[in-house]
Amino acid sequence: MASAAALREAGGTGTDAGRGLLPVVPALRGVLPEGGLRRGTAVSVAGGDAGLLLALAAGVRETEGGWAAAVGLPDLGLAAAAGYGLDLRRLLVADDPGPHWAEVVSVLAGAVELIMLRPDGPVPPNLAARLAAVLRRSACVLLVAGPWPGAGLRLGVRSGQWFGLGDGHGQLTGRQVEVVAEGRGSAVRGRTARLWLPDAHGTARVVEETAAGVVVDEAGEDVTSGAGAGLDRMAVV
Amino acid sequence: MADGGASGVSGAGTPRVLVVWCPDWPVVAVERPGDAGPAVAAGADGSIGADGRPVAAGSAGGGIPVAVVEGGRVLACSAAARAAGVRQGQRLKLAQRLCPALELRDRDPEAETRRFEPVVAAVEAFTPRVEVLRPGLCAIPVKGPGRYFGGEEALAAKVQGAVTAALAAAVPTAAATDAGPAAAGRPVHPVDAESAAGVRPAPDPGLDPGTRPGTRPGTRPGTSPGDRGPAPVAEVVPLHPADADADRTAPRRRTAGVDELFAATPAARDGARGGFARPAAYPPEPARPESRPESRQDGLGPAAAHRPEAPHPAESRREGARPQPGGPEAGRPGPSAAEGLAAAPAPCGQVGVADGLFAAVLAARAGVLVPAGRTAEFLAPYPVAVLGDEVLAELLDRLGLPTVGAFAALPAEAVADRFGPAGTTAHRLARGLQPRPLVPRTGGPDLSVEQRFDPPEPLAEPLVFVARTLAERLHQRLAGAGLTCQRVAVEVECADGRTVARLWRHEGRLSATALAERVRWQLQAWQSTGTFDAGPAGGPRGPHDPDGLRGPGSPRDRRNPRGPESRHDSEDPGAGGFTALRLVPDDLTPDQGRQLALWGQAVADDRVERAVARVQAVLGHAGLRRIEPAGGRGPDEQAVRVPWGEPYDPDAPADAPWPGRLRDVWPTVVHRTPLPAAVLDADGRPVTVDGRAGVSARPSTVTVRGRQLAVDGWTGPWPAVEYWWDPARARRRARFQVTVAGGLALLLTVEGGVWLVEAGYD
Repeated sequence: MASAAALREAGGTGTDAGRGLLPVVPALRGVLPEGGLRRGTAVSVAGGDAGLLLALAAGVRETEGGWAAAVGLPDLGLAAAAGYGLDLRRLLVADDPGPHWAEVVSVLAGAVELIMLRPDGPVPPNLAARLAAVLRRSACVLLVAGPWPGAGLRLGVRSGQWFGLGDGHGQLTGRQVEVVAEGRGSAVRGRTARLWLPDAHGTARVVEETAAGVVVDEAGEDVTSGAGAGLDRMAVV
Repeated sequence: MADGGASGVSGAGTPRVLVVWCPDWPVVAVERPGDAGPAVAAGADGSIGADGRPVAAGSAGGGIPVAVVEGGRVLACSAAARAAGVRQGQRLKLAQRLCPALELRDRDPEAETRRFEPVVAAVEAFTPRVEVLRPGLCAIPVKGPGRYFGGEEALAAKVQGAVTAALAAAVPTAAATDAGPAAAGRPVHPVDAESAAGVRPAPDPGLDPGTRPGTRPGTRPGTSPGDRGPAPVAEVVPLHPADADADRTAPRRRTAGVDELFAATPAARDGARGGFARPAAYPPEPARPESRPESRQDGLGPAAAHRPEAPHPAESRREGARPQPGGPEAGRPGPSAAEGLAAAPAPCGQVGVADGLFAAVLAARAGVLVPAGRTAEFLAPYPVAVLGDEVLAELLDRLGLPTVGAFAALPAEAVADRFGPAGTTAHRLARGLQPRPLVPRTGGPDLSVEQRFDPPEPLAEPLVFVARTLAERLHQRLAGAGLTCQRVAVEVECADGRTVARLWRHEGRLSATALAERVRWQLQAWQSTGTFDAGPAGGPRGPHDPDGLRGPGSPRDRRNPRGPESRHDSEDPGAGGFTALRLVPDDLTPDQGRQLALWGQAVADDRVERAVARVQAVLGHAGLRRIEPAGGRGPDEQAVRVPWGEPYDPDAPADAPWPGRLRDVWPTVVHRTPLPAAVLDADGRPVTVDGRAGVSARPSTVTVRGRQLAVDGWTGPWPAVEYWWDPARARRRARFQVTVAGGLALLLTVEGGVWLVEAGYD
């Protein structure tokens, strides 16, 4: 294990951009500042929107034989996860880690590419810092459903709207959301994207520009200024 | 007797078996109150006189002939029917022609089992190792209880008493009149006779004397034909009280048995019973209801007359012949037993003991106790048909070997040459051996390795060092034996006497270092969860008790009840240190190499395996799971979480068509336990769904967790009626999708009028 971690560290923390990014599904590339999830960092999904969480995790499939793990997410919709593109055969689930979640995460970080996590209660900053070190060493991405102290990137959804249901007929065919991303460094200026999350096939897709003038990409500055407040609002839901 | 009783195992190594047999059980099971008295009484009578057809024929006028029919043939019949010529296995037409009054009943296996249950319970009081061969027939090994209860004799007597009491108590229809006789029929146990006498009111004088005396005197001569010459069996089984009977009957069985026994499925039943062992006391002479002693004299008259060598009262003779060491019965005087003799036996049980199950069943039918090692002699007079191989029996008969004894006398090699495996099996049975030689399960070599620490080792680290050496030794031993183990148990003993153990999956893939590493993880995990802490004086622990977080299947939970406290100091195990570390290989299999892929194409590489092992060390075996696709309609049925390392066998294929299954957009949040909800229409009334999937009103609000959400759009109901053919699994529900204010969508389920939020889309 030590040797593997060392190898990973040698390669992962270098400047190699390809090595340092975990790919994401194409629909999400636009909203992420670097076009992918930086390895060894923690990403907070505000409000714990499970659809966004799964869409982000689905990129693990594009790595070669990479595994993902879900810790403390017992009610994760596995069928939906498969719809977003997650490889369920390469998914480890620890549904009830309880107070041991940090230990579980630090162990799994050495083995999997990405961990979805819902912590068991508020996360003290020092614990987050310790785990951040573990993540950096192991080049694993931590997707946290909820707030995370010192998260490199915060994502959230807002103005979600479901389509497909009438008054007593129809069925859900998709949800349009505005995904908001903000973070540190290059991501300090927030980005938004309007996505189908999910679309009629259960996957994430960019909303195509239509005559109705739906915003596709690259929201204006006004969104940026209000992004933080928007995330907080979403977190309540 | 003492030798046989004390040894418990015959010299040949065939285990002694005690069999309890309740005759005509299918008939007993379906007996009805109306015919209970005569039919049962006659049944018992008839069973006595079963082999003596003419006997019963003349006497059984009082009973209702009853036959239990299965597949167009007679499965069992009451004595009255048997007296009329009805036989087991007879065609229905023939039976009805022989006995036009025959009352046919369908077999009721459930009733057979149900009514046999008290008997099994009674036998279970002697040893828990009761094997129910079929309702009406059960067997126990003699070895243990035989010693405990003072020998086979005493055990047999006690079992018989218990069975009789159970039968008497369990046959409600016969409770009034037959409880007594049931006990009396087996005059072995005083309790029965007494209880019977106490329970039983005076039998109807009109009925009893009317049927019994007429039956009995006729029966006896036929049953124990005193004019038969003595048989070899007399020398063969000299210990049994019924020898006098046996020797008389043996020859007849040889001759008459052949024609009679071939018809019935379990052959030899009639001949064996009627002749061999019908003990002197068994044919209970019906007592005149009002007078015990005199009636006994009365009733025994005929029986005694047929037994010149035993003019004594039947039961006392029996007592003498079947000594029951230490039992109070030993000195029991006749009269008390005679009380029980007042009526004919109800459904009764017979007990037999012999070497091996096969012979024991026959012994039970005969009601005899075959001494250890003399089973072959006991079996010898039986026709070869009892061996249960019709083809072989027919062949042997044509070859001039009509009896088991003659067959057994053949050399085993010749039998094997001529008749093959089936013949060998039958030959072994005929010789009173087990049907096949014992193949004892080899317990496997003890390959466990251990290291003891004296004085106790307070630190965990030395154990890890030792573990590596131990693992190397273990692997050497395994390799030396050509074995591999599926699991290895790591056991740690503490100075306070506790032993904690944990199974690790091995499958031959762990190196010594890896095994030592697992020992370290395990010790760390135990220390961090307070496994080794002694007493309640531990330090504070986390807010959650890890016990509550482990699945019930977690080995740690099973093996390792811990105090709720935790101390994170590895310096002090709290239990006085470790005294031993042991590695025990589990589930040894021949080493044939190992299969690489764990499942599917997703081969878990070492990195993942190790991480999984470490997580399982913390959370328990069930704490970390993998996903397997599953089949179903609901969102929670699409995949199952299987503990890592456990095989998964889906009971419903995932790719089968699932009509009514939800469509592509699946909910991202599937609640493990659906949340209760209230769905109201615009007027504030609950929305209901009727049996035809009609909705009472448009849902207007959904209240979940105290929050009321306005419904924007809705659809449904989508009925899902599942497993309607299986009451245990049947579910009938209807699903709704609703969108509510706030951009949320919910999957609602209504089942039995209760609304639940099954899943959420977000």
